[in-house]
Amino acid sequence: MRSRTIASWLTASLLAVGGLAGCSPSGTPDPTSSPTTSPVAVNTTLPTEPVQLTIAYCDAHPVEDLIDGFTALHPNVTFDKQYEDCGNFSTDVINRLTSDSAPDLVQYVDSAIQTVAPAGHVLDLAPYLAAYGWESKFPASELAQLQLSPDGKVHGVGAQYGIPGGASFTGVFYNKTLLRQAGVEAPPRTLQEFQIALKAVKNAGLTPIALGSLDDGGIHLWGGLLTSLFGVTSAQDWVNGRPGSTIDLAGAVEATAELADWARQGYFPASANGTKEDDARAQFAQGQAVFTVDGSWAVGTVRQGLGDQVGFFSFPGRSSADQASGQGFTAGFAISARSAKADVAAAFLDYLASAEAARISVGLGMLPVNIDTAPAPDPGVASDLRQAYAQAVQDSGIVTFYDHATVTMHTTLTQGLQAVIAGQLEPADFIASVQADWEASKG
Amino acid sequence: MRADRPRSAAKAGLAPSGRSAKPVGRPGPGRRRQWSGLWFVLPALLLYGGLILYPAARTINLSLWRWDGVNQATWRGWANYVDVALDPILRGSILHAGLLIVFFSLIPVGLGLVWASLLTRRRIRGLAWFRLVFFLPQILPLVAVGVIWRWALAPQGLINQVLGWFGLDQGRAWLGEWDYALIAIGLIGAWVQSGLCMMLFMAGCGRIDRELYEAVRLDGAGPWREFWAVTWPGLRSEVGLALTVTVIAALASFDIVFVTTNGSPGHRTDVPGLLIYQRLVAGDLGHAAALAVVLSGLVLLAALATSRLSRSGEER
Repeated sequence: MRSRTIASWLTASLLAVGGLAGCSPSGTPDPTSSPTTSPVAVNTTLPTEPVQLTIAYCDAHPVEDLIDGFTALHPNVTFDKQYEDCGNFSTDVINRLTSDSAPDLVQYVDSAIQTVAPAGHVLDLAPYLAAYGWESKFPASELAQLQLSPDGKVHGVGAQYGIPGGASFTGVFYNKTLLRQAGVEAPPRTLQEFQIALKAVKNAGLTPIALGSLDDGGIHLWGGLLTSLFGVTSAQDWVNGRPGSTIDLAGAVEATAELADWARQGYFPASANGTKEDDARAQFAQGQAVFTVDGSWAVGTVRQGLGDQVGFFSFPGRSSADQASGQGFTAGFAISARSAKADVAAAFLDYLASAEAARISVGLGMLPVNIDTAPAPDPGVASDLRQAYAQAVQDSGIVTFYDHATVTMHTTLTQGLQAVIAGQLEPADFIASVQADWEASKG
Repeated sequence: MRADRPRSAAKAGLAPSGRSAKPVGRPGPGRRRQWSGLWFVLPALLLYGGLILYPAARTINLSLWRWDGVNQATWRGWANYVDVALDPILRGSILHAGLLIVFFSLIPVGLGLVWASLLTRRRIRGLAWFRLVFFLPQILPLVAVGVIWRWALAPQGLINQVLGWFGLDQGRAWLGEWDYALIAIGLIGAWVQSGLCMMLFMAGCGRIDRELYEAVRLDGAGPWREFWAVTWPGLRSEVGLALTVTVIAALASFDIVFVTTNGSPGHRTDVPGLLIYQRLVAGDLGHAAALAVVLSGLVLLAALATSRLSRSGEER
């Protein structure tokens, strides 16, 4: 009896406190303390006295290399480097940019910026864009990925919240020796040729595609099929969150059905759903599969394992005349709206367009922001990748990673594609669930 | 009736033993409360209020809003709870937690009873060693447990190697298998919790009067009869405790799932704790809080049910 009294008293008091705190959790925004989102006047000349910038980032390379390159040119500018693991970085960026002691610079994380930019925590770089002439220094497609509408829901329009620091690009890596062994002489140029090659490889008793769909691998493979069959423009509009867009169309269902068919044909190892993309990449690098769909970041690993036996091509389209395409996102930087040293931070952003910064990126085996100023990469797979990327830039075929569409899209796609690969979810139902996620966020 | 009253009052430690013995000049305990006692519980009350009650109330409040943690919140009322009830993913996670109770709780309690009765039946050499081995999973951090089992259950892992000795290795990634992933997680949980149950039950067996065993043996009872007549009744409260602890571990599981599958494949291993975390980092605080409230309610219900079970056993 007594315990029941205590329990009911406890419940009642909890409910009472819950009710008392019935005001909006965010409280009323205080207009006097809300940071300004755009500087009044900008200064493009660096001060000569010592200045320290704080920077929060999760990709040690190339961020630290670029910082070193910048401080070598401007010894009076030093950096307080605040490294954070990439797994927690998105939450970390939200917490840091909304705190009173926000860092001057943060590595751009799409989901975090979408959340904090509408509340005015990120500087609109428009004045610097004009002052430095960044529009002619950076590719328009790269800049567009870092633009966001005032409500944070639409990409490619509105304020310029970030400046690109390095590009990424997905496509197909292939093992030249194994492909020839299966009787296929040249890498496929159309989706149909790709299907024929996969069948030939399977018939030769080899594993066609190394796939790690436990995490990102499924998204990258499906993304290749989707861009080819759904089309670059409709895909980009959808990822950008353009009002009225839908993915619930025949091309997307067809792409998903193709993936399901590849799974049924046994083109992936049976363990794909329990394998991480890193591990699938390692399998490919050890010569256990003929193809893998991965990104520019994989170049180092596959080159180390396979040397000049590995090549790269863009995910093929329906016809060889289709525009070259791939998914990617630029690793950029944003400036806090609270930064008192925005002018100095902007000078660092301007440095990212320099030939010196491009040289550093290429030295790390990465894709430079500005391919025009960058030195040529090593021959082999890095050169294949650069060529494919340059072609896609020229064809305006670079689509932002599909999981950037909403903050929950990564989970929706990863888990949904696992079900498709396991043969447990109909392609049309999968696409409908993806669109439902999109509408819940953009609607 | 009247004669009863002093006795029960004294038992409760509230009143002096006799009516006439009431001291003069001091207020009777029934008339005025001694508020000075509050000062002694104040530090604990502040801590409990600040660390448990306030956050709990805040969570209940948050569960009624749509809020990303930064921008203006919008009122949703009970809509988040409706979503928990209707969203197949959220609802599925609660069903998964229910299935995990079998593995985290029922199997370990069953195994623990078997081991404990086997190990206490007669003196066994190296008993301390057995205890240590079976209890080892319990002292490992769950994240380490998850990593170890992720390796063991990988395509080239220990489990497949063992299966390979019998020609059964098909290179499966058990944690990525549509039908087996949740069961695999359940078995990891059973591995962790069994040692705890065994330790609890062995300690309980130690309290049972040896003479009872002798008595049933003299009456000609076999091991089976001995278990039901002596061991089981003697262990009721330990079984209740083990059930409470392990059922809570099943419902509130997070670490093992987060490290091994993260909900894969295709939401087959989603559990409420994992979804709360995922919604939280995705900036969906309202649904995270609503699911947290529902989960807390379930845990509370389970704890009440299991404690009632063991208490009714004691009274019998």
